[in-house]
Amino acid sequence: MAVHEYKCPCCGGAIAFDSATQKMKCPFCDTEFDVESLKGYDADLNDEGTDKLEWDTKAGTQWTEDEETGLRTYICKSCGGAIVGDANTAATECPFCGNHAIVMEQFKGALKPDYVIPFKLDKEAAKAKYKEHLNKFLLPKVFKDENHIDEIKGIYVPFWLFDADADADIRYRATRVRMWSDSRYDYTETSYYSVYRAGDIGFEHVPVDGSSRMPDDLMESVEPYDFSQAVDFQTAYLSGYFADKYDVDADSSVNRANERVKATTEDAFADTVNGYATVIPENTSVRLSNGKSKYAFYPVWLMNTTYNGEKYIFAMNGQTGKFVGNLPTDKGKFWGFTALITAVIGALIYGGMWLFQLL
Amino acid sequence: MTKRITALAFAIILLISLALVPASAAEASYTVKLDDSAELLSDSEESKLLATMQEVSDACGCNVVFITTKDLTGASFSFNGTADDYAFRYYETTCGVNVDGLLVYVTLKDEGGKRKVGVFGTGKCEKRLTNKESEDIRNEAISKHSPDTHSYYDFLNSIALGLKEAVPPHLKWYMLPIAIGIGFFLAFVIMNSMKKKLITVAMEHGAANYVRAGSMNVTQSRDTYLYSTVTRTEKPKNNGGSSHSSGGGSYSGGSSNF
Repeated sequence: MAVHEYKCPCCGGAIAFDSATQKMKCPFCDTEFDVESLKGYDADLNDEGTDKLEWDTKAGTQWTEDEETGLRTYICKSCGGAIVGDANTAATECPFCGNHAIVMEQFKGALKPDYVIPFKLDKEAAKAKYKEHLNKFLLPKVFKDENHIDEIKGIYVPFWLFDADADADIRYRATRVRMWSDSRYDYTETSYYSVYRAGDIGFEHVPVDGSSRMPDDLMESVEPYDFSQAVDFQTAYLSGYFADKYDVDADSSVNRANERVKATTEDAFADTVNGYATVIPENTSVRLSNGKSKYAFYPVWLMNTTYNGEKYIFAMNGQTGKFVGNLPTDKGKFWGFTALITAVIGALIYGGMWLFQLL
Repeated sequence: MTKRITALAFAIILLISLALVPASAAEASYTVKLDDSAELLSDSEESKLLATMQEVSDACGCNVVFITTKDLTGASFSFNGTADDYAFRYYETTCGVNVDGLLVYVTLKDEGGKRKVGVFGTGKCEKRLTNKESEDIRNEAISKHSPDTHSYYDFLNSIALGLKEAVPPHLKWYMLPIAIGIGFFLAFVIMNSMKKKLITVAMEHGAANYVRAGSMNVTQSRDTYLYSTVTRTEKPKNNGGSSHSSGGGSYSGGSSNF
């Protein structure tokens, strides 16, 4: 299979996208190039044929069918090394020479992304955010002091972006409560209302993770992304980062988009029902029109570590810097401080009871 | 670490509890007065009753005034004609208005011509001696130490001992577990809110960040009244917290004929 990389016109070194300058930059001679200026070059590269390098070797055994379906081998154009990746790796790094490689074969037969939001934050920013993220009171000290990140990867994650107009009519059961008293009784009057709201609301660029390898909750947790900074997709942006192509198609992602659109539609119309003690939706009807989807690559810094045999995955939004990832709890500290606070509050309450008696 | 924190916690409980245990009121100076105008007690009985009243005063940290009177005549102060008000004005003349104290009176002839006993608390003793406790003390004295079968000394001494048990600052045994239970509940809420900060990964609820600006349009809005229900709850009756007022001070407790 063919891999693709950008060579520096000055020195021939492999160049990569630099998130700080938002340009292509050669790490060897520091020459910078506009992404736009590489468009033609990119088109030329796309027209290139693939190498055919056949070897007649009998060494080794055949992959089993199960193994073979999930693996792909790519040849690095710089050093000729074999890069083994999985079926969805679209951009990667050669383990032999470190060149950033874009696997053009992976885009063939699949949809080309419509948009990409380029990385705005680099690996150092991700490391700094990780340290900041660990600054939690109940985090085990050993996790903070001795833990090392196994790997930090900048990954372009495939997302389906859904646009739609939602027509909704929603009926709520609402109550108002009035209370009064006379000398003998307390009275409570509960009035019941049927509240009806109808209207429309528009959504744009609702993202749904298109990669089954990325945990959906992790990807939704790094949201939101600012789509105004998205640009037309060019492979040049992938250089220097990893990338996955989608393996969950748009049709399979529609259900999640529907859930999110429906939930927000209900919330938005519920906000227009004011002046009631309780508001409970009884019937909701949401109809979508002008629905369409786009395919985009969104930037994510991904890192993981292992603690007490359990794997912890962290993600940072490569555009906004929002950092997420669940952390372990120091159970000893949790119960110790629970006991301490119990003692202090319990003693204060008990002391208050005594004071009430004394004064 | 955990053991140290737990030990520290129990040390704090112990220290604060000890610090708040009421100090002896022996150092303070309180009035202990027995006015036996009805001449129901002998000299030796008066001495013994005064000793018991002193114990009550020391234990409760307050004035203790016992009055006996044949009837409500001959008062050197004005009152509204009732036995209770007679006793209140007597106490206020002796000790002052709303000054911490316990007041016990026995009159052989009240405003209705009947024998009557009253047990009251004022100042801080107003909340320490509830109406129910006063009633229990009176009933105990009337049923078990009635002056018809015993002496007035037994009768009044029974009241004094009842006050000594009921009025000093004390907490029921279950108050400590209740205080610790409330403390544990609040501690658990606090610590869980801190624990939640460690969990930052969750599915998004909706798509509120992706609503097209200005796109929401409510085309129909109807609020239709359906029906109403009214529930009526009887107010709790106050039994034990009501106060008597003489127009000057405020008192808890009560009186009864016997």
